Amino acid sequence: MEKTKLNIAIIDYFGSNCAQDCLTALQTIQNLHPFLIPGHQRALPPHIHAILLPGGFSYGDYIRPGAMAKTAPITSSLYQHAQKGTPILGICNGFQILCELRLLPGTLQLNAKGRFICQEVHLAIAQRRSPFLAHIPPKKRTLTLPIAHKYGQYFTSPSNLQQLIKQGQIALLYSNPQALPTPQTNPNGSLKNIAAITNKQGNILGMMPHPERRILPYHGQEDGKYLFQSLLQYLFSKKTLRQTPLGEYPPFS
Amino acid sequence: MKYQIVVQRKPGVFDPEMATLQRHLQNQGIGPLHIQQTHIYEIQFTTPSPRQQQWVREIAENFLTHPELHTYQIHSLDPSHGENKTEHRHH
Repeated sequence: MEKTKLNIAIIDYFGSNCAQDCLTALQTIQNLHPFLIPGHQRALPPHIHAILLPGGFSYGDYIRPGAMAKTAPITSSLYQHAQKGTPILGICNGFQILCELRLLPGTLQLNAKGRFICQEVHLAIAQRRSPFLAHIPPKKRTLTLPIAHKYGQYFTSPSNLQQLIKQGQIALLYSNPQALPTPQTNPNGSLKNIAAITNKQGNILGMMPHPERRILPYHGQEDGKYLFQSLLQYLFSKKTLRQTPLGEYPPFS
Repeated sequence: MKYQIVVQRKPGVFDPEMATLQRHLQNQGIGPLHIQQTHIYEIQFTTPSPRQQQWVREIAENFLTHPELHTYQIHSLDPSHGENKTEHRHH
């Protein structure tokens, strides 16, 4: 079957520094058509198959990371897509923005050691409900991706944490290479070693590690590809997608 | 009218900066003690509006605080009367 291209909108907020990296990395994945949308635009174009909120200090992280981005003009359109079930991935600052928008529970606060951390981490795949994780081969139990953040310590109330566990919303955990999360493998003091969570419906995934930095051959390792290949497989398995217009949005300048 | 929004962390929310400062002071023989940061934001509307109290609350809730991390208080300061009305808000 000839596959068509799927439109992925990358929201480029003022001050974000990873939107272009995401665009460059995703352009190399077959059947994906990524393009940038400025955060100050009022609406996302129709026929979007997935949305990506990239990392990178939008609005200078002023007040709190994500606190200003959440009121950007694009927000109401983002809420509509979230409600419709469009797959949404928030990476690093994107995760912080999703928490500020209350599309994901909890918040990301200053790392337990109070410092910026930049290192490679192993991540145990705790559940695969998200379109970005659903089609990762079952034998693949861990991903190796880099983190780079100062505000990455996942925190939520005890009742929210119980809900996350009960509803299977914890997606990735900081672990060792054997997929075992321990206090020693927790780089930032996150509750229960949480590195990524989904919303209750599973269509929204927020994660601190950067998959777009492990896609291209010169990245040295390509674990980031798994998430987007999983998304492709998930979207192509939905019949309705084949009727949508294809890759018609040129990247915004 | 001038307003002050006073933001503090909720009890039990770990603050690594203050924990480090606390340890540092205790190592120097000061304490034992507990330190908490408080942020004070001052807002003054240049043109009076009947909606300004609502706006101040929106600024406090939508920008300056996160319901899982913070509590806040709004103080309205009336310069003509020296009046200080305090509204306590906990998410």
